[in-house]
Amino acid sequence: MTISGNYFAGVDVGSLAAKSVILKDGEIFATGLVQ
Amino acid sequence: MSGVNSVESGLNALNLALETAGLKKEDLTYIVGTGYGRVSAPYANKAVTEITCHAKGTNYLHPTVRTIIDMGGQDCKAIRIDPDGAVVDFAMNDKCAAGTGRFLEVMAGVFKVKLEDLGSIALSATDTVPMSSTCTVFAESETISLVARGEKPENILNGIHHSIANRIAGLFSRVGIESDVFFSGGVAKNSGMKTAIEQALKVSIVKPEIDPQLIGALGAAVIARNFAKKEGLWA
Repeated sequence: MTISGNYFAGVDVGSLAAKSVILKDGEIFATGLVQ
Repeated sequence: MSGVNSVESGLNALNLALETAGLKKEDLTYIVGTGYGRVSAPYANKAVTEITCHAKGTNYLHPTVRTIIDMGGQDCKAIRIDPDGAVVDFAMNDKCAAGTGRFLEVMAGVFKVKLEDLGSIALSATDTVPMSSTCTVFAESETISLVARGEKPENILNGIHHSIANRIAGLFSRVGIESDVFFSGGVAKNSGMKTAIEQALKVSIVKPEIDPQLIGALGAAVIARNFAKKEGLWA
């Protein structure tokens, strides 16, 4: 499968939770939250 | 809880987002890690401080914000930013657990209630029981004494929230406040804390467009995009 767009991720590891956000070009595309 | 294994917990959060997006890690052009576990994030291209990331993440969603209160699990920060989301000044409390998510977690344990219910319980108070202790350990024993004295849990919790808000106001005496004001971090989901801070700082807090706990990760993603552009990986 061909993936269109450019994807950028941020991962924030805190003491009580880990969080992630993926941007597709400039828009929020997906998030992940692990408590 | 991310605990001591920050590599694994960070990867779990990233994999969850990838799964939601229908992507593989190889599809990502750039990854930035932040938070206390950023130094042990081998999957990231770069690590950036959470202060910078909260500033960028807030600016991405709410460009009119100039002041950020960030309350996480283990520290609390007062951050001033410019119209581009660059940090102008900041102050932080990372020397003790008082005024952090960990403090509220301990209090939830004392009252045997869920952490996410603390704020709404505090907002149902009919009175504010003053909390004199600022240390988590002393505050825990003071709370137990107040319960034994017959004080209502909601009034004690209201006092605890106001005690934390007053500590935060102390941070802002060092960096100042400029509207608009935003509240980020996991504790920002606590409605009682939001109300107590609004009263202590005499401000109205901007309503978040996404889960405020994700602001640091969002800022890291925005910075990842900027790095990719700067390094010629994205036109």
